[in-house]
Amino acid sequence: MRGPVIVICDDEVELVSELAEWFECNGWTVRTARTVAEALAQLYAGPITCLVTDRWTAHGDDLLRRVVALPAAQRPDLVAMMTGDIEVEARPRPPGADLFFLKPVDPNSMLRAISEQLGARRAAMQPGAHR
Amino acid sequence: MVDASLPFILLVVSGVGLMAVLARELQLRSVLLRQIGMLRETEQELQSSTVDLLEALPVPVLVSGSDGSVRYANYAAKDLAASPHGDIDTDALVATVRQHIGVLGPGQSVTRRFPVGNGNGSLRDLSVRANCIWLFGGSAQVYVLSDTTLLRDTELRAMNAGKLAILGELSSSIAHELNQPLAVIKAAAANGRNLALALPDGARLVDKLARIDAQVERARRIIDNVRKLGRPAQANWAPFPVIRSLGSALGLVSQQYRLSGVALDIEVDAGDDVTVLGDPTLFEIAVLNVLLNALEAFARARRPDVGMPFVQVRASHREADLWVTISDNAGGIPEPLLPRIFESFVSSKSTDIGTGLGLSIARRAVEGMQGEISAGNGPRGAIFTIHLPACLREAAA
Repeated sequence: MRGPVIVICDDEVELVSELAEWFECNGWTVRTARTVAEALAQLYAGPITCLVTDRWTAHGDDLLRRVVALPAAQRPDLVAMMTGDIEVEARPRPPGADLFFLKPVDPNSMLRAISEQLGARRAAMQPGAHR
Repeated sequence: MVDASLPFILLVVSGVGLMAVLARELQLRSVLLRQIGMLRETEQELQSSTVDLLEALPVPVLVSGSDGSVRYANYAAKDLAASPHGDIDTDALVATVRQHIGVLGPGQSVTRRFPVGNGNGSLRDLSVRANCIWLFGGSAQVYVLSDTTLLRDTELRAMNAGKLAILGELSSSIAHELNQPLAVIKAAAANGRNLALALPDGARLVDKLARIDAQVERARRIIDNVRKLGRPAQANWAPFPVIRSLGSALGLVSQQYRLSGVALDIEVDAGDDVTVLGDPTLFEIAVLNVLLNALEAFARARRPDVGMPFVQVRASHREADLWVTISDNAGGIPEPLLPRIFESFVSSKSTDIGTGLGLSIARRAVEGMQGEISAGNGPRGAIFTIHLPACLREAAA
């Protein structure tokens, strides 16, 4: 059985490589992208559990806006954004990002936060969850 | 008979005429001499008035001959030429000025600015306006000096502020650029840990990878602090409720204090209407850094004899000023470090605990708001005092 699918979008090839290895080791199927176009192509290609994108590579909030506009079936369950720009921390979280990570992000913390968020969403979608 | 007396008559007439001419000439000379005398008197009066005028000028004025000898120095110039020991050496001052300006010809003038030794190892900055005029009965070099040391210092401070502003603007980009490779290192260390755990003797490797991870965290903290240090001050500061900001800063660290087992004792003797002109974020950064420094001090040296570790925060509004005192019982700041404790990268803590920038940032933040921060040692530990000019918020209309 295939595990959850994650798309990692960052123009820093080595970071993508390391994060890909980390998520694969933890049971994820990993797809990578270096540009907005590549990330969108991955989203069109199949159901994606999580999109992790670098803010710079995503042209600020451009990729997020496009993701929000996608048909529900092509939209990832969760969108996480990473940035190395510390000033961003003080700004409002960009719309469309469920999680926000400041580089250098701890992969373990990232995995845990993503898993918890997905778990919470699944629990919320269980029948009777809103009663 | 007429013929015989004619020469005599002519002689008499000529003599009388000559005498008349001589008398007239004498009279003219006498007038001229009187006028010359009067002119000399006027010149002397003018010279005397000029000296009085120059003496009364608050700016230093030196007059030298073409040979460089000092012909006059007013009170301000003598004051300027005085050494720290009280010796007045206007000759040396004129020699220095001539070295930078040279000898001017009649009608020439020039302005120069240059540094001059102060006699105590420091330099003072002089601005000199030089003219060549007729004075004191001859051609003279007149130097009007201005001590522009304060101006130079202000310019240097402005230049440094400009550099810091540039650093502030660059710091975000630098932080971003450095955080990228740090992110790769951190992720690689995490993957390395996974691989190491599978090895028979992987424990040592895991330790090394943990050390790499800790150093990445340290680098991240330094980057974050450098960014804060370089943040430019806002020109449009406004009064902000300082006690509320103090509460925010305390709220940010209270959890860390709880987890570290350090008690936080707070006493505020100032109303919510007390405001300080500046930036609340900067104030919070200052307080936060002092509080974190205190917390880290306990990690550095836990004295067994002090009992329960605690940090006291006292805020009071007195004499129109706000005073915040933060004291601890962590043993104090080592005496040799005390004079330099607010300098960047000066720390008594090990490198894995502090960055050595926290207190430097605190000082910069407080001084940026026209305040003062000082550090000292009490009987049980360090005492930091933040002093800011405060005002009461105007009652709402």
